[in-house]
Amino acid sequence: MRRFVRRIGDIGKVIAAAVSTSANETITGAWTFSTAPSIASPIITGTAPATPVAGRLYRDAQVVAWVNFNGGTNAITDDVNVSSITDNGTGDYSPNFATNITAVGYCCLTLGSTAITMRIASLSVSSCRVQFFNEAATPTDSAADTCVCCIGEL
Amino acid sequence: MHMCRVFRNPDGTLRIMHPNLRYWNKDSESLEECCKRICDKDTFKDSELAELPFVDVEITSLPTDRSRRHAWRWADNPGVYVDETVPDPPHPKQDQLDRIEKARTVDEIKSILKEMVK
Repeated sequence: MRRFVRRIGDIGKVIAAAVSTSANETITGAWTFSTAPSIASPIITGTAPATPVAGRLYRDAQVVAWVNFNGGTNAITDDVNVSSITDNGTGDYSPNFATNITAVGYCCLTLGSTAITMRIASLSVSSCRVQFFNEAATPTDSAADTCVCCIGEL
Repeated sequence: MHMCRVFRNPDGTLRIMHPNLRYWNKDSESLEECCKRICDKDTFKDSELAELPFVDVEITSLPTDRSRRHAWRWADNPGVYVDETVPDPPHPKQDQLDRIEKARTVDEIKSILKEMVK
C-alpha cells in the first residue's frame, strides 16, 4: 500500500512538471491551434535582416509612437507612447515620447489636415519636431486630426 | 486643474507643453499632480527645454486666439498675453512682392513671374 501511494506521488510530480508555466521549454516543429492564439505582449528580439522575410515581425520595424491631435488646441485625441506635446509656435509641434526611442535614425511621418506642406524639423530619442506651412510657405496651425507616426525600435 | 507648462525662450517667445491626460492614474494622483509629473519628466528629457525658465499655469488662462501666436509673451501678471507691440513676421516672399510693386514694365513683371514658377 505504501509503495502504491509513493507511485501515485511520483506520477503527480511528473504531471505537475509537465503543466508548469514557469519552466522554459523549447518547442520544435509546427504547432497547429484549433483557434487562433492571442498573444498579449510578445517580446520580439530579432532585428530585420537586409532582406526581410515576408510575414515576420522585427523589433526595429515597429510603430514606436503615434499621435492624433488637434493642432489648434494641442489636445491629444489618441496616441501610443506620446506623453505630451510641446507647442513651439505657430504650426510647430513636438510630440514627446513616454518611452525613448532607441536611436535617432528612426522614420517619422506627419500629416496635417489643413496645412499644405510639412517638414520634420528635428528628431531626438525623446521627441520629434514637426512644422506645418500654408501655400505661401508661412507657418500655419494644423487643425484636428494632425498625425505623427514614428517607426523604428523601442 | 488641467495645467500646462510655459517655457520662456531667450527671445521672449513661448513654448507650451501640454501633458497627455490619458496618462493620468486617477487612483494614485490628482490631475494637477499628473500634469506636473508628466511635464517634469518630459522637460528634463529634453536638454533644450531643461535650460529654459518655466511656470505651470491653468490651461484656460492661455489666449484662445492663436492668430498672433508669435506675439505670445509672459508677464507675472497677467501670465501669457498677446503683446500688441510685436510686429507680424515678414511674408516669406516679401522680396518678390516688393519687386512686383515696383515693376513698371510688362517685361519686369514677366521676369518676376518666371522666377516664381521655376
